[in-house]
Amino acid sequence: MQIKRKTNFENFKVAKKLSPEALIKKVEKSGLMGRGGANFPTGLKWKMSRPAKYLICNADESEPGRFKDKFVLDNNPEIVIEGINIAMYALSTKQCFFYLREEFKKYKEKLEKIIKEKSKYKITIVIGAGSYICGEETAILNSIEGKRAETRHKPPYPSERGLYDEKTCVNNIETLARIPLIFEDDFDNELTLFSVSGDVQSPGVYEERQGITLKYLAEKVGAIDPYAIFFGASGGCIPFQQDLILSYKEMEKTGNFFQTGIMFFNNEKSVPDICRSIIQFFNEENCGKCLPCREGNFRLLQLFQVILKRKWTKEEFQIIQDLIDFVPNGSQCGLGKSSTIALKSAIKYFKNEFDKLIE
Amino acid sequence: MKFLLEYLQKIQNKNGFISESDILEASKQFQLSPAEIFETISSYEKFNLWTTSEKVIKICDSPICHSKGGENLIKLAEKLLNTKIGTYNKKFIIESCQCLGECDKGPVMTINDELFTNLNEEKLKQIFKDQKLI
Amino acid sequence: MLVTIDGKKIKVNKKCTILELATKNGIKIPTLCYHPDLRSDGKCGVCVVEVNGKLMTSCNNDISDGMIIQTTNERIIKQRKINAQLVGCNFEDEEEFRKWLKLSNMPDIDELKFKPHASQELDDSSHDIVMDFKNCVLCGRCIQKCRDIQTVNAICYKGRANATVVTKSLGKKLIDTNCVGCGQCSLVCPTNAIREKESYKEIKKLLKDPKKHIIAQTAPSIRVALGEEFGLEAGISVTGQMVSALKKVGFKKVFDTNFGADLTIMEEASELIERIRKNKDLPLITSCCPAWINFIETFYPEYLNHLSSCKSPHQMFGALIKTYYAQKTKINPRDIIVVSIMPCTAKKYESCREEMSVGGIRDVDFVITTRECAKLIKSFNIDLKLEKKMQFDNPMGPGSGGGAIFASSGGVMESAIRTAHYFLTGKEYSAIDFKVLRGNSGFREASIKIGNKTLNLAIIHSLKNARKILEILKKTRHKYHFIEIMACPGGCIGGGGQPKPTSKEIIKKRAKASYEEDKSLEFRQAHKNPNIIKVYMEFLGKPLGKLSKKLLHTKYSDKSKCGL
Repeated sequence: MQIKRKTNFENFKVAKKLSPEALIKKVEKSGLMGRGGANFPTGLKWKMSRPAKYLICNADESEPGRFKDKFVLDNNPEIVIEGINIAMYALSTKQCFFYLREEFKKYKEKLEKIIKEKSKYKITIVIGAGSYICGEETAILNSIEGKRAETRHKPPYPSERGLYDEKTCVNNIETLARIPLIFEDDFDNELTLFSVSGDVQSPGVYEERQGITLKYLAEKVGAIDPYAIFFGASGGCIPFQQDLILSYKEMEKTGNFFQTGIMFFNNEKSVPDICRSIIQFFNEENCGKCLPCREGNFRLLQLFQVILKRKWTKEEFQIIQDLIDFVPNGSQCGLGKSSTIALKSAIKYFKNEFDKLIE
Repeated sequence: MKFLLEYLQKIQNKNGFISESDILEASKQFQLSPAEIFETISSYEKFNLWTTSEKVIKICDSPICHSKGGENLIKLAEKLLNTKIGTYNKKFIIESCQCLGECDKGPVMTINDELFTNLNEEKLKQIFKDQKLI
Repeated sequence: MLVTIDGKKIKVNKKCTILELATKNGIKIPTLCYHPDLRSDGKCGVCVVEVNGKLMTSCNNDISDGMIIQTTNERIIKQRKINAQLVGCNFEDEEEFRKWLKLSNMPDIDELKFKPHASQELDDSSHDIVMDFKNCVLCGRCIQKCRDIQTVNAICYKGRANATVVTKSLGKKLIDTNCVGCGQCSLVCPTNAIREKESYKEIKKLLKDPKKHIIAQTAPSIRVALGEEFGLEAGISVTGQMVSALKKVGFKKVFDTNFGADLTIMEEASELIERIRKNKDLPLITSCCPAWINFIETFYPEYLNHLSSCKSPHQMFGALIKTYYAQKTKINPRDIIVVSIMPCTAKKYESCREEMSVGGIRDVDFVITTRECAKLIKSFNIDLKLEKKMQFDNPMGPGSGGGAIFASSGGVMESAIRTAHYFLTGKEYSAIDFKVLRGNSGFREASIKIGNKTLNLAIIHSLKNARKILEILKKTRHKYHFIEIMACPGGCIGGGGQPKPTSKEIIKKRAKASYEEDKSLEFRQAHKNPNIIKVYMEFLGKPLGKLSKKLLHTKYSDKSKCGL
């Protein structure tokens, strides 16, 4: 795994030989895309943010089925710190905030030790307090500022007006970990950490190229009777298809959104039941600011709890379908916009399962 | 730079909860109204307001843990401890929680900060015994 | 920029939101959480439009070049219908909800499918405000008002996701928070989850009691706003119709609080002169606004000595009704009930204060807001617009122009200066209209020369600015001689008890109407009002005299609640 490659900050030294502008160009040219989920070109983000007052390393990973940030923290925190150093040099930034989700607070000491020994820049560890939405790039700003875990309207984007109203660059931890690798001969911008869980023999984190087929991955992890695949809670779902290509472009064609948290479910599992747990997730983890997302997901959950007792009426199922379109159309942030993707796909691809639940 | 979250975490970690007088003190230190601090606290899952139980049991009910029986474990825990989810008592409280990022080891739960993985009904009973909950 | 909206191409020079552009072009987009004076967060989702094929909220998204905007089509209507379903259950009653649908151009829906789910206890602990959050749609306008404009922070959000609620600071009862009762939250609440504590129904019962002599007095700012509740445009004065309607409702007498305002001026101008003479407790700060009084007692008790000791106009008036008027008409003051119709919610608590009574008899027995007054009149099936004009009752009234302008921010100051000038120099000020004291800014300063003395004045509205000036006083206590402070933006015409909607634009129109009233009156200075002269001659003696002090003045106390 490239991401595990040990570092002595040589690549930082190489990077510093370039001017910040040239460095950003190099990152742009490398084709590296953000690994937080939105797949935004990292070089472009840097260009837009520069000169940034703050850099934020986002390790508030809380997407169900995704646990790659923890993997990086466990296996190679040094490379992240090196990546941060390169980024700070490129962005002309003096202060970085390393935002860890609360469950990752155990890594604080280890990180601080590396920072003290190796980092040329000021990196402050900030620990969250239990909030999925803080992984969103504007909510994380509020959280560091000590405000409610709520998203902000975009525009302005953090690159224009971010933390304490200053220009801010927010990068995912895996993105930053891949920055030093750009300077290696065998750098491959398609390499991505896949988190695999569910009904498989060897769940865990795998470094693979985007563009592999589902069949390849299923064999590698030892999927057991794969039936339904969910891409995190927010990416959508699809019946197991051997030849499905795992990339942003291909996934979009299926009406889903590519998430590297890949959850395998065998045919003993009920898709509507998994959907219920996904709505429950969004129902507890949205910030509560916008009515369509807050109320829409709440009413969806209420409707999905109906099937624990009885079947849906036709009218109830119609409301479910209406709400599934309504929520993303009325919401302001990525969470709201993606909270019903899984449901929509589930009803599309597993129609027979849902039909059985309707009167 | 002073960080409100960090300040509150220290109190939370020390006492297990944040009290009214803590908020009033924070309000002075950070030049914010108590209302603003109160609303920040209440938007994060890890902060407890006013009180807490000795043992906070959080059982994950996110998709993977859910599909591997998380919901049943919650029901079993309720039965073993003769309580309902979310009901506070001095000794313990059971809560369902969202993804802890341990999906490869699901179902999982935490008791206070300690993580327990690959749970099943037998294991849950044993942990409760070890923790002197039953 | 070239923007296409509903097929019409429009050239736009200035940056604005989609909603603003539509409104300017006569296109009505439904809204719920949007308020022209407040920050728009696109929270409710009601104002969605289609932009280049994508749905988005129009209140918080700016236009950009080449945008193609569709404000209504099948998809948008479907979206709005579901939105209506989700908010419908939060309205106080279905009738109100249907009214909103119609007024805001929302599509009609059949039956409501959902039930409200937020379950917080109704909080009626405060004298002024009732909070019933089962009606809350979490638009957050109340919190913006309370936090950003009033800096009181009595209310806040609590929790997150589906458990998010608006609640009181630290989850306490409203009475135990720092709430100053200004009612600005109730003024912007779209669903009446926050409303005044109503007492008009009680008054309606009492009006049937033949033994009671029930008197109404109406504040200067009611007549320029009440019409809005009956479908009139903002800025139309309905003084005569209002008197007539209140008589029909059953009030024995309808008095003009402007007369009380004149009394206040006589006393306060004298107080100003005395303090300047003694160079003591300057600056003098006005005390007519009860929310401001609550604010200073709670947040800045160390400045209480600067407050004028004058009771507010309606309290002064109430005290005189129960004494002077009672003696004159030989009615037992215990049988007199004074109902003040005020633009204000905080006056409800003010009238209950122990200090606001003489010999165990309360100056004022009930305070109702402009909105309640309209409800009372409507409950008798009276349409204000159709009423014949009537005069206020005598002998205590009418008031002067100086009383009339109490309605807007700067009015008290202007009237006081008119009279103080006369008291100090024996002459009227050359121009009656002190234009330097007027304006819309919430923080205005002016200097005025009276005789050989220059007075530094400040006029403040909204509590954010009150806080600002008190912080200035902390550093330089003697910068000013006289400060007027009103808690509500715009002064009483923007009061928490005024008709909804109230916005900066509407406030301007109401202000214009009250300055016009001032101009139309024969007597424009309190000290020239013959009825005022008569009251002092027959009863009170002189301003700051013994009886005046007993009836018309009050004191304040430290009510800080350990920083809550």
